[in-house]
Amino acid sequence: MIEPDVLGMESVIAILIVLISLPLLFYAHARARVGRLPRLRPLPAFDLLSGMSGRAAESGQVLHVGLGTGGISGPDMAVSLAGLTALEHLADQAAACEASLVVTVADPTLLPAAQEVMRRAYAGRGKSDVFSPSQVRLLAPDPTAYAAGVMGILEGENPLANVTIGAFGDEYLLIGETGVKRDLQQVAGTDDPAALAFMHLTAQETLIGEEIFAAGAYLSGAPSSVAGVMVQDWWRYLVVAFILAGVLWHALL
Amino acid sequence: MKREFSLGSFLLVATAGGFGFVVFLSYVVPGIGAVQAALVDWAVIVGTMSLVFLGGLNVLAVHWHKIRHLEKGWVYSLFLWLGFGIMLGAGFVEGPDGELISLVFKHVQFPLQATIFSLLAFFLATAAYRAFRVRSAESLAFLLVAIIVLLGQIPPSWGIDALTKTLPWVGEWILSVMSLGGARGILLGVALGTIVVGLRLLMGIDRPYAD
Repeated sequence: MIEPDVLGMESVIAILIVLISLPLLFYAHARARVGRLPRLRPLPAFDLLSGMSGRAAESGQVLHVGLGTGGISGPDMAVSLAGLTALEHLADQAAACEASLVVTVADPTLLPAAQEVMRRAYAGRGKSDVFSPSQVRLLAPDPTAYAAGVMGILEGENPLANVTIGAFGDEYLLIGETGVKRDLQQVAGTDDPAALAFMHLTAQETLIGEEIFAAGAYLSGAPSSVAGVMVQDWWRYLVVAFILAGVLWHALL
Repeated sequence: MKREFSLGSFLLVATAGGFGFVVFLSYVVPGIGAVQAALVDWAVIVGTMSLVFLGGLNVLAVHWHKIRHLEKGWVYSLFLWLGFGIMLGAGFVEGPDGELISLVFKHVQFPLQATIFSLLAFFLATAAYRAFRVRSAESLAFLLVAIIVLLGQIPPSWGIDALTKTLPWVGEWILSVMSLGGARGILLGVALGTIVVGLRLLMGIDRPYAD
């Protein structure tokens, strides 16, 4: 666990970030709600995700969604929630066209969250009777065992596509290479730079770093999600300005 | 879409947001560390219980379905049920540090995990082969950088002074400046994204836990 830096410099920075972010978030949310939306740059990964459930339904094959080894009670919470956001869209589409969707998790705290997302998606389409909680499977808490479980699904259940968005490490390569061997459509995204290298090698489209947090904005266009992307961008400009100022300061003075 | 007010959702948002803010404040405000520790302990207990009950039951249910319908690979599911039963029984009889449990972990679980992980080396070789096939400017750049870094790692025995000194320096520069800079850029973006996601959760804008 992180040692608290009570009333130290890091605390001051943390408070400042929260105090600045809150009004920015409300302002961006208000702007997004009245339709003043920014132009989002194209991300081919989300285009590929958009029609994936439909293609799976047409082909009669399974769509696998792997949410990784993170949970919703630890440091991987944000990246796991990003995976859930993508799942929300895929589950909605799968419910609409009755595609077969298999979701895998490694952390038990993510299991009920993923089941709830699926249940809501099917209920929203009036197809609660089609949904089975066992469509969401906990494979194993250990990353290697989780990867082995996903490999088994990719090899044995004849999937059309493999979507892996969440917390992944080196074990992703086992999953990604199995997908390549089976010639699956693959979309992958995580926040770990080491795993991203493997994803770039094996997936058709990769969501790099903070791009995974834009899933809601791209897939649903919800104002709250777009507002989040706007605030992220404003912060990014600020951080870039700080870095440039620091470099100039260091070089010139 | 505008959300309709419901008391249940309001209570969930207030509880989640309130607890979240208390944990955040404990990092910056003195005197509430004990409250934070208690909340984190609760989270650990809930996490452990979810592993035992939600996770365990889910695994058993999924594999029972396979056995019942004699789906492809049902024999493996039967093994899982047998393994689960034996380990659970051994745990009740011998305790968590019992001889049988230690034996299974030492001679079955760990070797199997190591075996699967060792496959990474072969998977890495095939992935690298695919990456190094020159099909575009990007893959050409990838190949050149990989060659320079690889040659830079080899002990200096080139016989050519310029190469002996230059290649390790260039390789090191690529790793410590270009690669590290890129990784830090990704991590900064992730950190900003995490902050925004956290705030949206605390403010109840995102509610993954409620309709």
